[in-house]
Amino acid sequence: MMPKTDIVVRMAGTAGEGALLMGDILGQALAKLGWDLLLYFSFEAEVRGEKPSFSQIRVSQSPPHSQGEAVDILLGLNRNALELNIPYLATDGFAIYDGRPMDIFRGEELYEPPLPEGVRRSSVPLEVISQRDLGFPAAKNIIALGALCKFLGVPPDIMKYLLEGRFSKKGESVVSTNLKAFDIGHDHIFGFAPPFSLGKKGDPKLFVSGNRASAIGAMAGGCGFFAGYPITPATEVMEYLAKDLPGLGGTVIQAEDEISALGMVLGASFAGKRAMTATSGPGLSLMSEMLGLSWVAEVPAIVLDVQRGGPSTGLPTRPEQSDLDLALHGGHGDVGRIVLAPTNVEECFHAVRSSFGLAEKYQMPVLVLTDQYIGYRRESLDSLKAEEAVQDGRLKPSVQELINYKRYQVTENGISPLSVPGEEGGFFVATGLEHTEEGLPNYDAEIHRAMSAKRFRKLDSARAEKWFSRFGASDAEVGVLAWGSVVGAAMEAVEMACTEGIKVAGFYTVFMSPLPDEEMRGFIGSVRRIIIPELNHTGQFARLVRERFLVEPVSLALTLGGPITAGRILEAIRGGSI
Amino acid sequence: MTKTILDYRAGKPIWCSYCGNYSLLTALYMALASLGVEPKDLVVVSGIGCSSRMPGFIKNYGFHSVHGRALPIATGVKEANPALTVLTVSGDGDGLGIGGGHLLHAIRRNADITYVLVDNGLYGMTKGQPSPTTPFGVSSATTPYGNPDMPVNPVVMALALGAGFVARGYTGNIEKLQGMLKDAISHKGFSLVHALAPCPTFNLRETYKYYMSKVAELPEGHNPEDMAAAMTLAIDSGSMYTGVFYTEERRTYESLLDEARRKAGHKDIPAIIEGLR
Repeated sequence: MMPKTDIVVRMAGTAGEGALLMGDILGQALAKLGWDLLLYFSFEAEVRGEKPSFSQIRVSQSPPHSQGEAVDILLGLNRNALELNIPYLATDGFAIYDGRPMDIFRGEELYEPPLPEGVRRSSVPLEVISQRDLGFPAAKNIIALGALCKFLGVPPDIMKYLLEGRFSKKGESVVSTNLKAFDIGHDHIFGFAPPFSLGKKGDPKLFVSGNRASAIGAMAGGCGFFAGYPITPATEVMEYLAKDLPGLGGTVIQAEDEISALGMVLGASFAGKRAMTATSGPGLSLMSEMLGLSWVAEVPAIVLDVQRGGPSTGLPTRPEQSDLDLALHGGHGDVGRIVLAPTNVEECFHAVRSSFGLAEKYQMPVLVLTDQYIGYRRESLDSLKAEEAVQDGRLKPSVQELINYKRYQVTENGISPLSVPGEEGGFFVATGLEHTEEGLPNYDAEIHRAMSAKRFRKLDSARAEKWFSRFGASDAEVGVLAWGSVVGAAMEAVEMACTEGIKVAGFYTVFMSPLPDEEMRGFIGSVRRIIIPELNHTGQFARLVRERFLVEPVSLALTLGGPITAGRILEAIRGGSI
Repeated sequence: MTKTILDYRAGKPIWCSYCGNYSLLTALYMALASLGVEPKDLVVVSGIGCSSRMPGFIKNYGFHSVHGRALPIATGVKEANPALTVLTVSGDGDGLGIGGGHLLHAIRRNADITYVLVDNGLYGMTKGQPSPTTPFGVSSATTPYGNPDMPVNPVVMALALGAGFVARGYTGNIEKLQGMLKDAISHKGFSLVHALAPCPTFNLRETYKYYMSKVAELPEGHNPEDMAAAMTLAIDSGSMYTGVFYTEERRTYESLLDEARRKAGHKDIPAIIEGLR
């Protein structure tokens, strides 16, 4: 058969069996071979448990925007994991599983999975090889990886090189057992030509997750101080920064809770450092009061929220876009903030990097909203441009302004000169109380009105910073408005619909606050129907669009506990076409 | 340059007449002047409450933050710029109630911050409800049938948590209080000064008159390096001892973060990115 150029491989197992490790190593190999790929992990909050987890790689010749549709190759590390994933198999897909029982010689029957007709199958005795031949039950996933690589036509050398690197810390015998396991698995598939051929395609690519890209974006944005508290799925960001930021002269502190984390960030920022924290929904809830302080005292701060399913403890390891309301409006009183929602791994890097410049320039909190899907997923990228100089610093008071310094001077664009401790003459007290231009507490209505207006003028000024994109047909009748991690699937859905002859276009903005009003109004006005796909129950973005643009969009609000597929959006487009 | 208390005065305090905060503020001015701290290098962080308005009355870069969170903010300031002198002023409600959890961790970290815990025995700004230092059984508007909670002793707490400098002062004795504040600011690492500050408006129990008979100097010859002796004196319910209970030099958080930077070695961003290829 002709080699496919767009393949979806799903590796499923039970927590602890190593299905995620398989995906990670295979993904890394494919990136090194120069393939465009997207690797997605689905797992449970418990470190060990009965629930299946999986990693899924979509590999193609052009960058995939989503995790893909039907699974072309399904590998089950155990029967339950296999069977639960059979419904996702393509009708002409492959299934790899362990069909051989341990006690075949005592009459135990071969396992025949309930696969639909047309699905090709291959059984690899993972249990028998790992337990009897190797005496190393943990090697099951590596045997499977060997078999899978034969199927995919991935050169074994690169896999073995990566396995060595991965296991070298555990000692030589672990390395050699795993290499052996890989070979056995690889040799077990024979008698037919590998259906795929994923050999070297080009120059090695970067293999980066959204969380890692966010951490690197922070460093590239000049982050000098990070404080955080461990929380799934954001912890990785702190881990990466803990390792690298001190080597760049920065500081990383693990705080006692999220309130303290943002408190430290505000303190460090007040003292002149570019400062950031990263968290997920429950942490963002705790930070609400501090975000209000950041807004009123006008102390720059970056908060990265890697969203997970909510409310409360919710679904800690699953993606959701249900923190939008909290991010935009959370907190008491009239609060504003800049909110960015990157849509893929590379944009995580750029969004976090530029958030520092924005926070410094507009002296307010900047929230970056990603989610478990883009935070954990890995993509292969050609490069991340970190060379650009850090720009847009704080507006510093001039020598003239330091005479009778007014920290909160009312200005046309709302931005006031900001002094830093250690600077002669720039004395002021940052306070969450309403205050005069000098920063003195004052509760007069006129002052409160003027200061509220000044603060919101900054947000209006920030509207000039734009980051949006329109895609699809130019004469569209149906419009898809997407945000964050849903955008990739929306782009693919729009493309598929256009191929079907439907006049459809899409629009997304990375700036969720302030919104590019003019451009969005233009887009909404240019189509007859607006569809808003998003991962939450109440249609938070749809509500925002309805309120702000006085339109009635079709809300495709889904709580999937996982990413949306392009197919699901395509259905809505078909239904919504005129 | 020699400093006087005039170098630190700013604003106009808004406290009630005879509030203990006035004497504390004076003692702070005196301590800062005698140490010659440059106002531009001074950051006073506070939470919410009567005493937390103090940053506004000191010439400094002040941060009057949110209720209970002065210590995290002070930690951020200090670690961002260790050259600054960082003070935290926080009341008993602010620092032991809503923000009580942060004290444990601030002590564990041992950042070079001086924490002045201003104790008036109640929530003054909201008009006299019981705070974590209010005695058991006291009636108030929110505890009309008696306060059901046991009070905490901040000195015992700080000693038990391992603070490297623990002292108690009384605003009725400015001279002694300023000396203690001076020692606390000079101490390398986290220092806690429990400042007894009567609230003449709402606290009719721990009055100046009450403290006149209750407050006592630490016994002469008390060895501030003797933890057991410090603890024994701190739990004494007969007298409210004032003085430096305990001192111990421990590694500061700043030095440990410096060490982390050294251990990390020099990194550069392009190399970190290329490492992912």
